[in-house]
Amino acid sequence: MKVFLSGAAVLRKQASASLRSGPLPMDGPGLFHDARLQDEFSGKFSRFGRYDHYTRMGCAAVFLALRDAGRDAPSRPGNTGFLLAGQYGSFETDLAYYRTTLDGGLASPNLFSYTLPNIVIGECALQFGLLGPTYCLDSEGGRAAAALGEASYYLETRSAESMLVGWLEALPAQAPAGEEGAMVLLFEANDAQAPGALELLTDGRRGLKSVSGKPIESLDDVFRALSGAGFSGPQFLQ
Amino acid sequence: MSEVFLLDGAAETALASWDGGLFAALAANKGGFGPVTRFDASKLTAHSAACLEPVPGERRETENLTQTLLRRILPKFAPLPDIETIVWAGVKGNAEFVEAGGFQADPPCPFPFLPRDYSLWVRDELGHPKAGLVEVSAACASSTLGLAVGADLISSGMSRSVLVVAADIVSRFSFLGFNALNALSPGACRPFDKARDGLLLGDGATVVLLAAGDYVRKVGRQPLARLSGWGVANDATHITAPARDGRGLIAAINSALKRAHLEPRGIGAFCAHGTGTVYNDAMELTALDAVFGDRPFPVFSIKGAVGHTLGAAGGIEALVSARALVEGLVPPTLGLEHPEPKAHGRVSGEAQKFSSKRIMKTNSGFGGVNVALILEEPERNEA
Repeated sequence: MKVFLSGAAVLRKQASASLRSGPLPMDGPGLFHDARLQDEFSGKFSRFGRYDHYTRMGCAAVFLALRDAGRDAPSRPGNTGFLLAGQYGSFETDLAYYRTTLDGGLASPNLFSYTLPNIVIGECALQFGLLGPTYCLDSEGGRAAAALGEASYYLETRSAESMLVGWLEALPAQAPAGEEGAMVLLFEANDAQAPGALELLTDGRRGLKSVSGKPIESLDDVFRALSGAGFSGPQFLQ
Repeated sequence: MSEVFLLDGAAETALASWDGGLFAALAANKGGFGPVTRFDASKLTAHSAACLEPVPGERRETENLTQTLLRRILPKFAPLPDIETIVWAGVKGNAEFVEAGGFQADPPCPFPFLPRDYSLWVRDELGHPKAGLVEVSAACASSTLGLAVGADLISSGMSRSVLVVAADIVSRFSFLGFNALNALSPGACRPFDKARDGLLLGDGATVVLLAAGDYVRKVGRQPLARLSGWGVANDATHITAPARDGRGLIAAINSALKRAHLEPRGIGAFCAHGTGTVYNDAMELTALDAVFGDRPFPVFSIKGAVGHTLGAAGGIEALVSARALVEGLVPPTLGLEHPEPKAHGRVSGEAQKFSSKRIMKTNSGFGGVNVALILEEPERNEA
């Protein structure tokens, strides 16, 4: 079955970009240098100021990917799912929350609410009306390999009409060195809303493959496929 | 599409272990909770939990309590042939690491803190080095979701045997957090009761083995149940509160029914999330009415007895549901005295008999996620 990649965003410390907008300079995690874009983004997330780096980056990447596809209006709820890979999740907030409980302090209910890795998904679901399957899913293998496989299966079995697939990592200050950032892709079951999108094929629960049959085993493979298909944005995305 | 069977399982709760009579204890309306002694709760509004303590000498020096509880039940699955996939579905596996000082602990804390740490550890403990590792997180619906993801892997032919593993303990981290949210009951947890005022936290560990038909035949055991339907949906309403109209849960239930090719009347009993909080239970009753109309049928929650075991809850409750099918009886909902009007004819403080071959199990979690499973009594010659 054909599916269409209609939106993509990458947020890194050094550079950020979306498929259709190209490079988007950032002033910090989830803070766009472009004031208009920042207003547009923070206007959608009223609690933006409360978010930790993990939530800011995740929401910003989803916002950009959906904006790429013209799917960022909250008035368009639908059976869209969101599967998110990553290991540290809300760890930064876990530590911040627990500090509030020490030395006779009062546990912060606001921070506690953000001590789960899937809360960022809930924030995006709330804002963008994501009513499909939404959860954190990681695995051995390529980046977000299991999430790509599961998303492919949801699309192929018509359990969802579109799927966001992402990877998100924000490391606490003292954690061992590792990769940080956010990558989010939007796959749609039909291209009515995504003219000119990259075509891919589902391969059951195995995941996706290119139209030439090359397996897609990670988010990085998708970006390579974008580059190979001549899309202009992807050179900024890797 | 391969059929999916719930082949075997195990669980540890404060009331009893799975193999040590958990279902019988639930059916006898027993509870496993008491005052919290693991940390100081004297200044909090809630003081009770369903805690398990290790027996002397049981806990290894470098492991946390979560691992100790899991080591009680993992050995049962080690001798099985070719476990192809391990799905880790614990929710707050880093709580004990954080409480021990986290990255600033001196000497460094040896406890696992990432989901991958746990899935790798489970694989090592089992001695199945070829098993692929998957980690899921969906708040309090995590192991229910783990079963749904495992079912996808089996039905699509990607795996023949999936071990869903989850454990969460009553940590200071979680207890103080839920207390700060005013989500803990200061008295008894009373799911679906008019006087319900919050949840009870509990220690829990569970392992559930899902398998394809050929694996079932290879092992030669009678499955506990067939997993015929599963569905996942978000309510897109609030990060910590459920949708009042139950739309996310309704969507998950309908998705599970569709996959199982069933109408709502095909479900004969229902194992609810039933946390005992005002809003969760009201949402579930609303969703039940929306899907099943006013048909009376047995609905129950075990959280008044074993507590809310967070990520482990769905796995434990799926096992209880499978056993309920075999017994033709659902356990009482401990703590129920004055049912909500919408719970009349469904939830009871007594055990309820039923004759249907299908039971539904649902869980909902922070982040708006809802998961529904349908378990069916397997044919006797399935093995």
